[in-house]
Amino acid sequence: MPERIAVVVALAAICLALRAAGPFALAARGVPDALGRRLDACVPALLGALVAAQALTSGRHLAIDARVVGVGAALVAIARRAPLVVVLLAAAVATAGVRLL
Amino acid sequence: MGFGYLTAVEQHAGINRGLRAGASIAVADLVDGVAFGALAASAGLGLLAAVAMSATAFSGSAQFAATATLAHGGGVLGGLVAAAALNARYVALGAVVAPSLARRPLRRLAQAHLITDASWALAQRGRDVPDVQVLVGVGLAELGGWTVGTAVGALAGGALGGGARLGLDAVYPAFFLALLCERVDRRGALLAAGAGLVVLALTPLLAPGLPVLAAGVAALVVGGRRA
Repeated sequence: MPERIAVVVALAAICLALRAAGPFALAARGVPDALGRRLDACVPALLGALVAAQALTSGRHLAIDARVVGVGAALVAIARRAPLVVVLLAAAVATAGVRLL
Repeated sequence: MGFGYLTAVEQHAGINRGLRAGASIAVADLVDGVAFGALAASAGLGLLAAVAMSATAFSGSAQFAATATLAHGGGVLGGLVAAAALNARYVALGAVVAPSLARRPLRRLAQAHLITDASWALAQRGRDVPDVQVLVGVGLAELGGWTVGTAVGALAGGALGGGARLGLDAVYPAFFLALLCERVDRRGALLAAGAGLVVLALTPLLAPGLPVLAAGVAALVVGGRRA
């Protein structure tokens, strides 16, 4: 339990600090171009990294299981421009369905 | 141009305009909040902790990244760093609207908390100087929808239980994939694929959470090059 509370507090501090950094610290200067370009590159990379970690690994092992089917279903929903919640539901339902088989 | 510049009536009208502009986004946030709340409950975050997280962190990507590490055990630090890196764009968004925000520190901080992708974008639509009242109105609408949705989802998810049986573990990669597809260009797709491969290669070698971190650091290094 304490770990969970620590995560909530830490996440609150991180997000508020990031939102406040511009208005309080960088108001006059803005974000340097070179740093902005590096941070821009981080976003798709981290998203790709998180997809791989959450879909294809389990602890320290690579794992191909029912989640892959769920992510496939999500991809179909994304390609059909479904709203986010439909994408998430597709993933959960497809994965749960495979596990029922 | 701080708040003192406007009369109370003008401020009120502006915030109302923002609330109306943000209404449809707030409904979407409400629904997404339900999904997050259900996940948070299955990750063992109680109702209060889940709602507190949505009200204070107020960022889907950060919250999914942090909660995923709670759900799967280990690598909490990695989850937090990933959450921070995913939201580093707020620094840039905040810098753009900074000159328009209130001068008084507490009020400025409260306004900064309401910066979201949508509130930021709507506040500048069709104007040279961002409209802070629209930013506040849209931000408040989104904060309300997201937090209420989280409460509903946490209550429902707590009643359902059993994350893996319901396929909730597949919701995390689906969420990050959806965010990725929303904003991806050719360079982004290459970076994402490369980072994914880095994670798969490092997973057997490092503690959980660290491969994602390593991929993020690699992108920081590589990202300095021009596209």
